[in-house]
Amino acid sequence: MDKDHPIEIIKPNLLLVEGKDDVGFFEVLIKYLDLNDIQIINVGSTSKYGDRLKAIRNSPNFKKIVISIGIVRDADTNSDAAFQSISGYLRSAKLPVPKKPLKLSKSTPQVTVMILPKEGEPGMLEDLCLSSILSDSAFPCMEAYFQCLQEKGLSLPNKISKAKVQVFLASRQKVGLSLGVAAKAKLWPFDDNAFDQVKTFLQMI
Amino acid sequence: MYQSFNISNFRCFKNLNVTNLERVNLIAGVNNVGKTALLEALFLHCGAYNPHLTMNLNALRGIESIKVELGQMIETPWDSLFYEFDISKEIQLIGDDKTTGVRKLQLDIIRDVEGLMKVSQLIQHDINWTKETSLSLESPQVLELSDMSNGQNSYYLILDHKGIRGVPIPPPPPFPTIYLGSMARVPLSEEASRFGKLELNRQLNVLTNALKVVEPRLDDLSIIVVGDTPLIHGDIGLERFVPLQFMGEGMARLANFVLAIANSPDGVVLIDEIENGFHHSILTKVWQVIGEMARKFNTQVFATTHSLECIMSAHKAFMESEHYDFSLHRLERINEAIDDVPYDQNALEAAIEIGLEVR
Repeated sequence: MDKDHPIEIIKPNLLLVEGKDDVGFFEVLIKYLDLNDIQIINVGSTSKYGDRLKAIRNSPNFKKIVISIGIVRDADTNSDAAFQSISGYLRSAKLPVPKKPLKLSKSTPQVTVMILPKEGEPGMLEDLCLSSILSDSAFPCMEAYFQCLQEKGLSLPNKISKAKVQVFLASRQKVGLSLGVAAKAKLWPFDDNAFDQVKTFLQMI
Repeated sequence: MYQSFNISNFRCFKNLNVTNLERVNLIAGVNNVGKTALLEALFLHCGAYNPHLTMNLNALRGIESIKVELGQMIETPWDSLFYEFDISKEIQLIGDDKTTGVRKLQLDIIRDVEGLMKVSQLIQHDINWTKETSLSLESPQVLELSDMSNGQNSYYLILDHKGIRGVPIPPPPPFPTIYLGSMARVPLSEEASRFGKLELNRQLNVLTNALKVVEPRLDDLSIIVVGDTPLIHGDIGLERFVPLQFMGEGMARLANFVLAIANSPDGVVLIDEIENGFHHSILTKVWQVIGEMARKFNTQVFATTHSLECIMSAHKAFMESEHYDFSLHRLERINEAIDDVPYDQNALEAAIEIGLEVR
C-alpha cells in the first residue's frame, strides 16, 4: 500500500479489473468513450477476491457515492465457471448479484459483470485485443511465428494469447510494450467491431 | 469483555451500534465523526453507576473548568453530552459484555418539579425543594444516571449553591477502567501509584520488558522522588538513573499504556490518539506489547487513531501474534447518521493489499 496515497473512492461508478494491464487498457478505452465518472480499481486475480470485494464495500465513501459497479474477469477455460465464481464472491461480500453476464443487478449498487473476451467464449483480454488486429499486416507474421515453432516441435507457451500479444507488439517500432501500455500508445484499434461488446458493457456501468 | 455496544443520543451519535468487538479495537475515522465520543460513552458505561464521571469527560478533552449556573432555563454542564444538545431525549448506553451480560445505562437531566422533589426526599431534606423553589432562578441542576439492568437503580449528581455531590453513594464499577486522553497527561502521582501496584505484585518485569521495545538499553526501573514528585526512573547503563520522561515521549507513553493495562485486569483501557509520540518504525512493536499485555491481564483495549501507519502496524503485529484478537472500526458519517464499519482480519488484509483507504 502507498501509505501517502491510499486509494480513495471518488467516483460513483467503479470498474473492478484483475491486473495492471487491464488498468492501462481500460483507462484508455474509458477515455476513448468519454466516460468520466468511472474509477478503475485493480482487485487482482486471486482466491481472496471475495475479501477484496468486502474491503471495497467497506471503503470510506462507498455507501455515500457508489451507484454502480462493473466487474471484468477473464473467462480462461470456461466463461460460465468464471461468472459463477464472481457471483459467489459478490454474494459473500453481500453485494448484489446479476442473473447473467452483461445484465444489471436489480438492487443497488447496480452490478454488471463482463467475462472476457466476449460473452460465452473462453479466453482473456489478450484474445479480445488479438481479435481486433486480424487485418493488421503484422498479424500473419505473428501467426507464422507460432506455426514455425510448432513445426520445429517446440512446445508453445501455456498462455498462448499472452505470447501472441507480445509477439504482435514486438512488431511495433517501440519495443517492450505491455498490453496496457500499448493501449496508451494507441496500438489497439478501439473503433474495431471486436470491442463493441466491451464498449456496451462500459456504457452500462 | 464487550462484544457489542450501542449508543443513543450521546454527543454526535443519534444512534450508533458497534459490533464485532475484539480484545483490542482500533477506532478510525475523519475528524469530528465521534471517535473520542465513542471512548467517552464506553468510559461512562464501564463506570456503570457513577454520574461523577460525566464531569470528568470535559477534563479529558482538555477543558479544565466549566461554568456552572443554577436555574431551570440555564444550560447545564451536561448539555454537551446530549445529541444536538437536546436534553429532552435521554442518553442510553447498552453494552453486551461477557462478564456482566447486557447492561443498560440511561442518563437524564431532571428539570420537572416532581423529579426534583423526589431527589429532595432522597437527600433527606438537606435541600427543601418545593414547587416555589423550582420557579426561582436558583433551581439546582440534577443529572440522573440509571442502571436499567435489574429494574431501575438511579444515582444522582446534584449541582446547587452548596456545590456538587452525588447521591446515593454508587457501588464500585463491575471492572476497572482507565482512560488515557490524547490531551491530558497522566498525573505523575497516578503513574507512580500504578507502578507501585505492579511492584507490589512482583510484576515490574512486565513493564521493564515492554519498555525495552523503545529503549533496548533499559535494565531496571525504580520510583525516585524528585522534590515532592515521585518519578519513574530507568537504568540505561549510565552512572545514574534517568527519568522516563527524559527518554522521549514514546517511552513515557508506552509506560502509561502498560501501567494502565496491568492495573485494569479483567477490565477496559481506553486510549485516545494512540499513535501520538511514537516513531512509525516502532509502532508494530508497540502493538505487539499492547496485544501481549492485554492478553496477559485479560484487558480489553479501545484506541483511536488518525494514522494509516498505525493501522497497518497493528494489523502486522496481530498477524504475527498467536491470535488475531484485533479489529478495526471506522466511524463514517452517512447523511445524518454515523455508522460503524468493522474490518475483520481478512477484510483489512485485503484493503491493505489493494491499497485502499481504510480511515
